[in-house]
Amino acid sequence: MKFITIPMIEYSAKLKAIAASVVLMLSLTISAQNSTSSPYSLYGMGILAPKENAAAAGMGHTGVAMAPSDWINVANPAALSGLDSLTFYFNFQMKAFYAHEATPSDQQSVYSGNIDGITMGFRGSRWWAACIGYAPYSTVGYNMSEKKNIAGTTSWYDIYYTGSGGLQQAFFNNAFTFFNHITLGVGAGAIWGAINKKETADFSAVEITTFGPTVLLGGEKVYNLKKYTMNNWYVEYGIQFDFNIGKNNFRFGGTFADRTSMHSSYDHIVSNDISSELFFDDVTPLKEEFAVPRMYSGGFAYTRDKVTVTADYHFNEWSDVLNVKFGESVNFRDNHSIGGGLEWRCGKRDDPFYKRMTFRLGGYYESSYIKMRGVTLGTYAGTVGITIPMGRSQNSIVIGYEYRRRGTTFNGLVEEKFNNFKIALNIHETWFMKSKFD
Amino acid sequence: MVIFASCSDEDFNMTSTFVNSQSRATYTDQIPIELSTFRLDSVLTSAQNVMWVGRCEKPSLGHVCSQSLSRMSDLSSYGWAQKEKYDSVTIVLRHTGDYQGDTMKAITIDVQRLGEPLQFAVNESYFYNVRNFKDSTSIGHFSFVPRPHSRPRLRYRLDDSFGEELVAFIKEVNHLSSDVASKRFESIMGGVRVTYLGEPEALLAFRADSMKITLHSHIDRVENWKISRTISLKSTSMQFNRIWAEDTESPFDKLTKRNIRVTEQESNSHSMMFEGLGYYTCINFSSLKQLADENFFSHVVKAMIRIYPERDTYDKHEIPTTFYLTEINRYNALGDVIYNSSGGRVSATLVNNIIDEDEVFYYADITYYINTLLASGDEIDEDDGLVITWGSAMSPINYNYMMFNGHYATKYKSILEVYYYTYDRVLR
Repeated sequence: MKFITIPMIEYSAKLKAIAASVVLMLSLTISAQNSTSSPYSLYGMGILAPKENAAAAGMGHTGVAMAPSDWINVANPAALSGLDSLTFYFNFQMKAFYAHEATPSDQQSVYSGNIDGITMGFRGSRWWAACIGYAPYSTVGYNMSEKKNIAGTTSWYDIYYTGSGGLQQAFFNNAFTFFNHITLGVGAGAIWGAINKKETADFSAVEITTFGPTVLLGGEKVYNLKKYTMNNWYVEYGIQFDFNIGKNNFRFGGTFADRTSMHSSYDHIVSNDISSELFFDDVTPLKEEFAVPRMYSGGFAYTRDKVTVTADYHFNEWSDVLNVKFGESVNFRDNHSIGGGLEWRCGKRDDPFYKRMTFRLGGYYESSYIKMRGVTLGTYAGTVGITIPMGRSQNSIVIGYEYRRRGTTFNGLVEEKFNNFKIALNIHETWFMKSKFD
Repeated sequence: MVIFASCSDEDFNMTSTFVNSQSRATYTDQIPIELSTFRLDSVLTSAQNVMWVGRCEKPSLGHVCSQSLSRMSDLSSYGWAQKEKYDSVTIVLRHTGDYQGDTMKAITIDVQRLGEPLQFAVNESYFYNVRNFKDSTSIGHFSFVPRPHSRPRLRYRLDDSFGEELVAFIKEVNHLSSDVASKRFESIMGGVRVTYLGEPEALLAFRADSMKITLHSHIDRVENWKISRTISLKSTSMQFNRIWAEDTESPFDKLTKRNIRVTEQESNSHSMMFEGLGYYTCINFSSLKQLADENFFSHVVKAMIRIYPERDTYDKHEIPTTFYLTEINRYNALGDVIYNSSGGRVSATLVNNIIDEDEVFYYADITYYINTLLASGDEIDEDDGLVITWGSAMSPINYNYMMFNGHYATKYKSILEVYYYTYDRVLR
């Protein structure tokens, strides 16, 4: 008798470990949200974070038309059709960056990092696969300062602008495959979070010359905090279909998500070092104040043997969204982005791990949804990536690196050069395997 | 679990390229304040060990006069020996060196005894009204020419008739117990009034606890057997100065009741500070209520009050270098001194403008007080205010006089300087 089985008690323990990790990561994520540093995150909901696997990040942020079997593609709800029916997929992903930001007269360097996503997926049947996950939706993080004149004097005071927070999303994607080549996807989820914008007016170092010699005014610090909290459910739809011509596989995909208004509230708290509440006001804005725009995307993937070529296009209808702009001189406009990628898979399954690595390359361009001072902010990025198998198992470590340039020093704006790293731990566990007796 | 800590070299100095904040900071000295004068005490003022005696001229008040009233102790000993002989009775006073007016002219000090003990009607912590002190009789006088800043110990002989009266009293109570004798002593020495004769041009200060009346005697035919019996000040808290103004038709004459104030508009844009007479300067911030009512949406980050003393009412070399501010309500009832956010008492500092030597003013940080007022919103009483006091408490230890320029003075006007931060309130 040949006996092949999986000790269920071992998998139960693994499942608990994974669940515990998820809970821990989510809780840490909530407390460590500052995963960007950009003056441009001042506007709207902040810098939008693509919902993607680190593998896609190495391919120019593409993936709408990919249906990989060795990692969970969350770029399209329909992209789960490639998942293996005997495998439970778990992905834990982190992001880190080192950025250099410059204006014509000033510059700074900054680095930070945070959790970038957690995903679990499986194939439930021949025609259905699903995944659940968490990912950041947008991030806000900036530190800026300036000196302002005290009206009526020749004195100046320091003012510091700091932003933190951002939005998160949790999603449940389902892919339904028909006729082996057509997959429809639907993803439901929630977006929530808070954006804190704080203005600190520091009068402690103000010097006055009211009566002859310059003396220190010795005023206090005043903290002016605006906190925007928002949440709502959202639905995203996706489709993929593919066909083969000889050894060539062609796959097309698309996604759509309708405009989603956010339930939001607004707190305005003014405080100083003596009183935590010099002024407090809470306003629940109109539902139209914050919204996630209508989003479209289309993609193409071509695979032959070990090589895959991808191209994606995204369109987000930000011009239809009346997000709070905090009185800034900035306009929202429709956001376009295009990316392309190349993936090369080496070796065979039985080869040593160093011969089974996967290499990725990509490029990306995005015109931002923010237009400032007549300048449409553009983002250019070059990406590379690698998948490193862990031993002879299907588990792997995926690394995506991106060099990104955003903005310009023209017209007093900021040019940002980012070195973004994404590292993902892909765990594949063989589940759902039934015992077989000869 | 690895969590990256964010880090940056420094804040990005982006000027106003990115941020279009509506918040702003503003300085203003145009918030109206009003100085006024009121009279806290109208009869007698506790002098706390300083006896002011004399008379001198003050602007806006005419001649200001002062005399000291003291409650005295019992005789240091009773009993009169059979062969004991009376010699003399003397008084000792120690000049503190403080003075007002012309000290180059002789001043005649008159010492009087009160027929009944001084009775106090204590209704406040520091101020006492004596309504029923009786006429007194002179027990001696002397003249001397004071010298500025000298602190002579003065010892003068009083009338022998007073000494003999004391001797007669001692002999009369010789057979009585000391308690009874002491009780009866108050009937002939209820207190001492030290005043002046004539029309002196100076006010002099003496240490009250230095005042001592001594009865000198000796035992007949016993050489060097001298006996002294002393009468001292009973307590420094039982010594008062009665200060009054004469020959005046000033706007401050209307201050006959405590709850009256003379506004700076009524007194030629001035207010008065004269602790000896009970005159105090009150500062009102009536316009703050309007600010609070109009949704100020601002926070005062610094509020400094600048009070200018009238140039002719102080000696630049002797002007006090600080004063304190005490809360007062619409009925001129005193509250506590005001404090800053750290719990320290707010004091004003004397500032001499190094560019304009004529510009001398007091400067006090009243940020915490102003913010507290603004925070109370509708509850602001426009007639509440602050009182200037030289001491940290309402204890008029000196004969201090000064006029202040009001907010509506033409030059060197007293002002409230405010730096306030206005925050944007609207959502967008």
